[in-house]
Amino acid sequence: MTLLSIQGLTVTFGTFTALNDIDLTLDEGDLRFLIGPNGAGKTTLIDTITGRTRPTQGTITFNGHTLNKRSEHHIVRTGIGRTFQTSVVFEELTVADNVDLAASFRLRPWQLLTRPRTRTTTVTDILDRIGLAPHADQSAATLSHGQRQWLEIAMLLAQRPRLLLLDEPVAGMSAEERTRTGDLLTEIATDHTIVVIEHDMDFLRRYATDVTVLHEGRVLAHGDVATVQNNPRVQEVYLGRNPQEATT
Amino acid sequence: MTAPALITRLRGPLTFLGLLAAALLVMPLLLEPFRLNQLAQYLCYAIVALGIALAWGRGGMLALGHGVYFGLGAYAMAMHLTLAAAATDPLSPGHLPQFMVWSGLTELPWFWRPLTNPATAIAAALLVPTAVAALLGWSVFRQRVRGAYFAILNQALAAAFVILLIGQQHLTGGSNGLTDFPVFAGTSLYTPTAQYTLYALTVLTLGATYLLFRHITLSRYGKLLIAIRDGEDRVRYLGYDPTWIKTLAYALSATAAGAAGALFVPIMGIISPSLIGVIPSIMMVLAVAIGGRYSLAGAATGAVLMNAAQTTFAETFAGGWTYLQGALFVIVIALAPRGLAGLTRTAAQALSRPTPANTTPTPETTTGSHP
Repeated sequence: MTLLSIQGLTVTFGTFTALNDIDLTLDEGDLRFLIGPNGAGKTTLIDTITGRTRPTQGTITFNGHTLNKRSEHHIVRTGIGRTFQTSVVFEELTVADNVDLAASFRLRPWQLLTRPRTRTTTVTDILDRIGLAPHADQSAATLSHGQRQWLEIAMLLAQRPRLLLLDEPVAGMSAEERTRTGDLLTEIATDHTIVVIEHDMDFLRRYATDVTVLHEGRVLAHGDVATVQNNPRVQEVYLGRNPQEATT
Repeated sequence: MTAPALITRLRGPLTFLGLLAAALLVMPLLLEPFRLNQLAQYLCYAIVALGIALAWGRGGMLALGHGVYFGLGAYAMAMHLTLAAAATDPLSPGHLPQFMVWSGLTELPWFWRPLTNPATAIAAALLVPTAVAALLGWSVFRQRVRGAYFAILNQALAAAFVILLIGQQHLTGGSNGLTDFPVFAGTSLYTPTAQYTLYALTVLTLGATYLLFRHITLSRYGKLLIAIRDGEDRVRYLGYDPTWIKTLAYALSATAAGAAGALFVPIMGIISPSLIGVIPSIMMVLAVAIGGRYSLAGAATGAVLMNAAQTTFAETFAGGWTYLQGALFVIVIALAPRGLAGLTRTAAQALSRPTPANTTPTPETTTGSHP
């Protein structure tokens, strides 16, 4: 079943065309990797789906809703969650409170004011699943870089979205943290639809099956990792001077 | 539950009840009526400070125009008291306030009429500031106006309000304001009992406001306010609309200011534009900054201390206070951004981190920053 459908999406900033007539569909349960050189439009694409950037042309349909003119929080309420390249967690709050807020957006205003803040099983389960349970009562400011990225994923899961958009979730992580994140992604992908923006070729080879390549705002290629890597145009534009890197 | 745990758990409520009892029972014995009246004035400013601590300290909205909401509450009450005085004045034709007679008015203006009723006056003192703040907040936060722009807008509102009050002298009493309030609801306000009752009412309002705002800051909504202060755009991607969350906190802080204004008028005996304009609005925020904007108790204490200090210094060496106040503000902003209430935390951070400016993201540096 088609969950997300993007047709003829164009985004221009002044004279610069960031996205140029993009068509893309995601089925329920997909784990899609989005790659491309800097400036290819990967983050702009996610920004446009989530309402941060307005489309100049084209339509974005998610689960029967047209998203074009909705504000960010409405789009979240239709079931789309995202993370950011530079993780933003709330440092004045504890790790558990960060997750709890993410889990509570469906509460009515008076429920936000009056419902006791006992830790819900949703929050406990997610903290266990992500491995942040030992840090639950710490301030989020005390977390390491990798832990902060995980906290973002935990907050995302707490929102119970149908579609997760992850913007470079392993950027700046150690090899060990990358492995953990990759395993986590694979596990989450069993019951979620996910789009991951990632630069890291090694990470891609290990965890990706389904890859879309963007270049200068257009979809350049789409397929499994091997197909994409052997595509001469991809080698030319994305891998640049060193096409060998793609096959080694 | 073990004994130490019980003590820890009861320490907060016991401190609160102790302070309340001391304020209601002990202070009236220690202070002569004149000083008790002054203390009541300071406590009115403490109520305003609680509101500013909620809007600014928690929500990151620099409320630099709370004189307006204080003034709206104060004028609602003062207009009622003026009408009550005129009603018993044999020299006042048609029970019009004196300044209206001098301005040539022969009939009570329409917006004065409902305020003849004391209950309406109290309702207006609470609801008008709330409604004005809600309207302003909603229209401004929806457009994602924040930070310095929001602060300047508040200042402009305070300036405009004062210009309106002075310009419409025949309707508002002009720069003289409204004064001379002998009765409320048929009771004389000049008796010691009335003065004590007003003082006690102020203490109780302060206590109730503190408890309400404390509950709010401890709720999920309170955590959400902090989240919006530190990363408003991120909160949108958590599925919340920051507009109503900010509007509610801002409007509640205006309600508190309105209540304080309504109490202030019979205690002080006068309200005039000079008490609610741009500079008084800044002073209200200043007191919160010095007391500690992240702590409700700190903010309220700051307001009492600053106003008490102002009176004391004004009585001994008049001109010096302004300079001292300015110096205090500079020192607090530079060295103790968490105010008096946050001194230990500021000190601990300074000791544990050699360059706190670079490693501790304070709300100021993260407000408005994009994720």
